[in-house]
Amino acid sequence: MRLELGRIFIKDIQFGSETKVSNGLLTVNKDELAELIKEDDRIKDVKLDIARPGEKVRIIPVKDVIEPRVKVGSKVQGFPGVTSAMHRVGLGRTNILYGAAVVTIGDIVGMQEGIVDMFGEGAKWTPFSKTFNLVVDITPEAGLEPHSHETAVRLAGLKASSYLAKCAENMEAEEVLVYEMDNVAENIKKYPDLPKILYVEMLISQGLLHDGFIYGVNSKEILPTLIHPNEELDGAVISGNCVAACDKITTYQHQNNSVIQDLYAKHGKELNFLGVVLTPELTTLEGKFRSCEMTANLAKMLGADGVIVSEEGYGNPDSDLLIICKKLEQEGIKTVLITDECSGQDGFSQPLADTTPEAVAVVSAGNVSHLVKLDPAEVILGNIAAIENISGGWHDSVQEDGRIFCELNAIIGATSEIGFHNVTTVLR
Amino acid sequence: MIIFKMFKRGGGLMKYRILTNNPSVAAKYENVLYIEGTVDDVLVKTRNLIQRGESLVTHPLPASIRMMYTPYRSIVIGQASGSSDFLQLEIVEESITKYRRIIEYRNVDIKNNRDYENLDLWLLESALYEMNTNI
Repeated sequence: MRLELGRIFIKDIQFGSETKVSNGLLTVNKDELAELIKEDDRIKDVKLDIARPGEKVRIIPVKDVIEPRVKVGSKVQGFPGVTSAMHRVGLGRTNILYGAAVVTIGDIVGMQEGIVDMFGEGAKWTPFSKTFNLVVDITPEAGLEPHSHETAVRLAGLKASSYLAKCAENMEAEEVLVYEMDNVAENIKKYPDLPKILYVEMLISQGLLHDGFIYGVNSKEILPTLIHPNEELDGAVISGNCVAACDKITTYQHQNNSVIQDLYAKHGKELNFLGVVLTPELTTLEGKFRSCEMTANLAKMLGADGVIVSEEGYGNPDSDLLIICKKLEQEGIKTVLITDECSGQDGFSQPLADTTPEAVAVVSAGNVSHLVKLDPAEVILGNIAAIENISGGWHDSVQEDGRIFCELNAIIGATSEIGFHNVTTVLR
Repeated sequence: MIIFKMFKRGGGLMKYRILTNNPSVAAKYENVLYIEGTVDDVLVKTRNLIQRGESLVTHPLPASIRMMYTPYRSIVIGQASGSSDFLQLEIVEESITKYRRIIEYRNVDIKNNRDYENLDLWLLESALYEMNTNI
């Protein structure tokens, strides 16, 4: 399967009369896009804004971030099974407005935090302070219940991203990345001496505001599933999560999954990349045991020598992570875990409550309790009241100079457990 | 009255009940052990029941940090299996440790308690749905 991702570099966004890209400037016809979003009768109104890197803008509460893309030469556009009919993705050519992003915001429930600061200290911690963001803020029809509200915001963002990129279908890409891999049997023949590595990506699958989707299917409805890495890089996996700012995997991060990218970079050189298993993080212990058993069995059936497991979220999924680890190691399959840690505001507490002797290789994506001070913003896109959620909770969180204390867990993508973020682990 | 049942390992049906401090859950379901107290109280009560040999059906913790600040939590417990399950005991003990660590610096979020009450109910119902698919 061969996928080409063509990058068209975006260096600014402006509103204008026509949606187009010219010399790196993305112009957006605001009215046309607003009309498209309002076709959904759950949506009463939509507000569109632009946030550029360095501007004193704070976006809150962020629900999802999506990279605008278009499938070249395809009659079917959009996210398969979600905003378009089912079609296979992961092959052919996709053009990307690289450097641009759609950011959806909205209070679906009161306690969402999810900050993207485009400036100052806050910008250091989120990868989406470096993208030129089109911010989509919908007003739902009165009385719309949260399930439908979440769906409406999710679809609005996905549709907006496809709308933006449509103009780039026939543009020449400035950079083309190629992701090509034979089937498992061919690869084993081709690279007999390289270790066979499987990637297990865990997805929050727990109910309202806590679900991922694969080809439009809610991940809580699935058994662990093997997919080609190209499918995820090309839009098969999207986010429906709202309340885990620092470590939810946004759609943008799925589209650019760092574990997949890094495994691809080493494929055929240092290792043989077998594929991706998507595993649901369920709420019942029975469900967790089933998913973990089946995940370990898939790895065994594929003949994996090693497995990298990434988590999504914090709390009950930690149990799945360690059970998967235990089962794989007991099968003699070397396992690396990627998680984030809560090691106190000073970073000195024991990071993981759960432990298993089999967890011998664990990568930390950051300390969710790390304290940061956010400078005052000039413009707030979204809900000013939501700021109180991040500043509240302990004494002296608001400083006299207007700066606020905030834990890293309130910042979008700050401790991404698939590695698409700004912090790194250094061994001392 | 809605009575949920699920298969017990080795055959037969296992009845279960919901441990909760969420008034919405208590109002909607009858097989409830209502705890007038905090999330910490619910977790400790869960641990005590698991130590007595009852079984843990749903995980004690939610799946995201923001949900850790919830003033409400509902946990499903199955009837006694006769002996304590060490993995379940480990899970519930670690959940208490983790919960206390994460709220060490932040208080329970009372301001949004109505939303938390609803979310706890919806997440519980998602778990009940997950369990019913086993029947």
